[in-house]
Amino acid sequence: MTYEIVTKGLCAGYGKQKVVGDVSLSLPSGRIAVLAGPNGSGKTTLLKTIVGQLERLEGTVILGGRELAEFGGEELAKEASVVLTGRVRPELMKCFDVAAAGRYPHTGRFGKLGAEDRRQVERAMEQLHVLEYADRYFDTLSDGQKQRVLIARALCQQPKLLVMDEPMNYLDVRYQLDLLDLLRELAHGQGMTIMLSLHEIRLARKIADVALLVRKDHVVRFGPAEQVLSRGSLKELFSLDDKGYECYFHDGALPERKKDVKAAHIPAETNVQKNTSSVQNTARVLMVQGTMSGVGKSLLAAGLCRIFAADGFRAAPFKSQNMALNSYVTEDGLEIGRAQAMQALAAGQKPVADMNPVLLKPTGHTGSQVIVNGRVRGDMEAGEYFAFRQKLMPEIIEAFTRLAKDNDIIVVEGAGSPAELNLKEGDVVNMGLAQLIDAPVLLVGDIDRGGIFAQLLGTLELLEPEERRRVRGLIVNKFRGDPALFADGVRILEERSSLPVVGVVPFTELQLEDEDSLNPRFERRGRGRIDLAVVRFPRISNASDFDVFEQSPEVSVRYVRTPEELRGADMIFLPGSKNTLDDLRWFRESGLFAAVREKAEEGTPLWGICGGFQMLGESVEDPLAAEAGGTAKGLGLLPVVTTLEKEKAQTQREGVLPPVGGMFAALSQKAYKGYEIHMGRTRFSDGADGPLPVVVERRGNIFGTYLHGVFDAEGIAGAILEALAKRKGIRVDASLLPRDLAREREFDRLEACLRDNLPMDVIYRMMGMEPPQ
Amino acid sequence: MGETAENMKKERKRNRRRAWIFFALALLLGLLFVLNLQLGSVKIAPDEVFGILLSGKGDPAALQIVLQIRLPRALLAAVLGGALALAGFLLQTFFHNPIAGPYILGISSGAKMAVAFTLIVFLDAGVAASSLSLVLAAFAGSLLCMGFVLFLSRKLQGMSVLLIGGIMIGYICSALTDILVTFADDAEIVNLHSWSQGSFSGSDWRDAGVAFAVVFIAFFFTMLLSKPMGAYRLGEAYAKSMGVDTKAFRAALILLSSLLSACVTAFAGPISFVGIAVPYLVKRLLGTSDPIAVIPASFLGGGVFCLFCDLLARTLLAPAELNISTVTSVFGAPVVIFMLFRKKGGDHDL
Repeated sequence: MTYEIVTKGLCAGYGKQKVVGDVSLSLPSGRIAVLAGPNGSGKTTLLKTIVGQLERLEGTVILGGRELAEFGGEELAKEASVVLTGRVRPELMKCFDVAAAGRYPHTGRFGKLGAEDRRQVERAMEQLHVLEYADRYFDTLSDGQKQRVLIARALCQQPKLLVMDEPMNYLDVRYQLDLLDLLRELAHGQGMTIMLSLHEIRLARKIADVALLVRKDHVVRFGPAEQVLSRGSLKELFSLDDKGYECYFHDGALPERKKDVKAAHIPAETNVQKNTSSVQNTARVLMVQGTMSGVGKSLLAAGLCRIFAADGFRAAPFKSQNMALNSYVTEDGLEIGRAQAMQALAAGQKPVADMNPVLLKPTGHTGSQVIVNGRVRGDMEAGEYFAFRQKLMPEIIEAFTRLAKDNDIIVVEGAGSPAELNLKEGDVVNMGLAQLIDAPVLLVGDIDRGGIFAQLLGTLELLEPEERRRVRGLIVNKFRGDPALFADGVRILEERSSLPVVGVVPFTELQLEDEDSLNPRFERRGRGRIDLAVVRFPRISNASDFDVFEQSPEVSVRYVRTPEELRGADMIFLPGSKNTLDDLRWFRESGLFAAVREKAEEGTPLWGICGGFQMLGESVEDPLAAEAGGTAKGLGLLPVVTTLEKEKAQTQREGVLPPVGGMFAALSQKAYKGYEIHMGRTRFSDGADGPLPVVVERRGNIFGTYLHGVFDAEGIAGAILEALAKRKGIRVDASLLPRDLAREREFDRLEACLRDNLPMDVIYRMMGMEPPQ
Repeated sequence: MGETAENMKKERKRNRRRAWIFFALALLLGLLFVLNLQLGSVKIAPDEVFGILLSGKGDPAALQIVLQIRLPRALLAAVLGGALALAGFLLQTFFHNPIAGPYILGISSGAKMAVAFTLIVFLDAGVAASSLSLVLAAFAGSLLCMGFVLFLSRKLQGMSVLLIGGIMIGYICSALTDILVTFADDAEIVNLHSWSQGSFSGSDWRDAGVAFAVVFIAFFFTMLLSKPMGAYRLGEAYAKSMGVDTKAFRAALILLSSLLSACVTAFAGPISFVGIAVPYLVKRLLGTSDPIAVIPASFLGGGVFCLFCDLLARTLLAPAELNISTVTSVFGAPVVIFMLFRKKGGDHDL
């Protein structure tokens, strides 16, 4: 079915007042045409005239081969429906009735709805996600909800031509994107012709097939969207200068009204050697970006930090935005990604919040808890965050500026890949950041996962020329075997990319905590003589609590997802969770809940930490819907109940453990150090009052604590392992290396490895520095 | 589709509720109708009333009272009450404002003026004015004022200005009517005076017959307009986009509402507040503004309201009679004041 809209010499206006003149266009069916133009340029007038709402002053409109003038009222209504901007305020009208009004041209004299009519109305309401309001009075809805009902009304009219005047009005980001998607499906999938006016040009670019720029009195341009909505014509249409354009279309900073050159903008031409960056930056910078996540950026950055520190510089890590389930709590009680904390320690520095100003902790499939400058800003859906993150730019820059003031060298880590083309707009983590802080970039590929040439060369290929110029060298990471064997590969990479391969780094197994719980730690399956099982909650957090046990060669730490995997475990951990209620439900549904309780009742020791501790109790209540809301029953192994609250408690704690009963009595009076970070309050339910002890023990084998890192202090993990060995009737060497020492040793290994395989003098020169002697 | 089934169920429930409301209104109408025949300066027992109605026989005095005085009066009160409510609902649809009504917009006053003029002219000529000629005169007067109100609504924005304009028109028409009355012969004044205050007294079968014919024709056409009226609730632009011929539709609204209020004024004089209060209450009762339900329900409700008010007007100070407007104001004005309070939230600009 083809359905074409043609106008010839169309003039639109009111009475004798001409608003838009001489519009001649032709729009094939199944296309989306966007009208753009400044306020008062006549977009609405033109749209209304095309659908016959307003009388034409001159010219013709032809819909599907017939002249507009030939259509009767209801005939036209079957062809075209509209969404207008005026307020609609029907008295005592339910949403269903408002939407169902769209069936007007399809119903009989008294407008009675048939089954088909109802189906159409419901379908349209469902498409706009307003079916749930069907039975509510229209005037009780919010503006955005009303707008969606009105769009549903237009859809159930089943038009061939849909005309919408500013349909995004009142819609939040998520529904805007949703509507774009729906419009695209209607046009490209079902052949509906759509004309809409949009102020959000950025959205227009995403869906428009053709575009019409309207300026006072005449149509400026009509043609393919990518041509018409180009930088030049938009700048002219809206009288924008470069800064204004950058600000709106590329997330540049808002140009100030008064002249002030300090405003952050992206330099058009960048020069890496000279520090032309717009951000006040007193330190030297080096950025490590990867071809994908998991290529080893974090460890490379840590090693570089270590090397710079060893060479006598104050070096600090920086990652503008980190997505990780695990967080580290700084001395100020602020949350940052564990990777940055680890890198700071490698550089011999105390981790501070400025090293990772934005931290996203996934809380569900699409949502994350957003932590800015170490403090929780709230939970956001991906779409919501996408819009929100643009506001974070100044905070990121401020954090970086503060960090740069106190340090000589900043090692910046990118996130994921810099060539995620759909996510580039508003990028604050990879090339966008590199340009802002004027950083030379090392691009890292992971040869162990294969496709190293595609990784490195493909990524370079996808970068814009000015971005590509930022890349100063390539690194091939995780090479197994003799790097010399890769000489041919290096030559090919260098020839094809015209960039130096600054290093081929061998695969190195390091016992360092890295970015998040998606790393291979969870895949380990081998059993030690003492076997520890950690229940692998989908939203597990602070999994590094158990790292200390892995330092003993006698111990295996396994992360289990199924009841079968629990078999043979000498001790079970319920770790922390980002979402206790969700994970508790998963716990129950996976069958592990019953299996863990059974093992605990047989006497297997069971530790619950933080979220896991809450689950050990009788119930977890969420009256304020901090998580999912409602109440969930726990394992009932400890006589405690937890009430979730909106406020997050986070504190560092140290002291001496109170007397601990049961099989780990040896822990009594041991010094501990750790931190608490949780959103609930837990109290005894069996009448025992007083504050909750650091470790709650019942039945001799059930232990709960809010304290992360409780096993790290000297002697604690060892005492636990000895007790476990005794129970099992075996002897093990429970002497563990002190945590810090072990870590330092690993850092040294990392430093040595990098020094052997990276030409540090080249890297120093990249940063515009003379290599130290 | 599950949703459809569920909505069908809801719809059935809603229809049952509507049926009950209609049933209750009809029952109330019947009850008040009988009471109206029964009560007055002479009380007549219910069984006697039924006897007279069914067989046409009975005590001659009672027969005369019921058949010649009370029955036509009650019928007229019911039909004209319905007409007023309907006229109000049509105007409210037209102006998108629940506070519009024939009395408030000065349309009743225009009709009143035209009727007074006609009466005096005819009486001076020594001819009794026929019911139909009075209706026509009132219709002309209504349209005249309506035209003026429309002119104002074109020129001035905002409902409050429009209402003030309507009230001013009402005053002007009343003043002109007063002048006419002043120049009229003494004998005519008594009759004219009580009429101009609004009353169902002096109704006879001929009036009732004409009123019936006019009002039911108007009712029939109003029902035919229920579909576009429903669409018009979303505003003129949307109505037009759905295929409503808005020009013809608006003209039809004006003609029908003018005809209905003219008819009422011709027979009973201007009656206040029925046109606003009844549709408002009926819509709340039904929980919808869907015209297909509101039109007949308003019609019934207007009948109930006017029968009730006329009953009070006749019986409270018997044998003296109150103006019908006095009684309707007592009950109707508080409803309007209540509406104004409810509107404070601001979903309709007044």
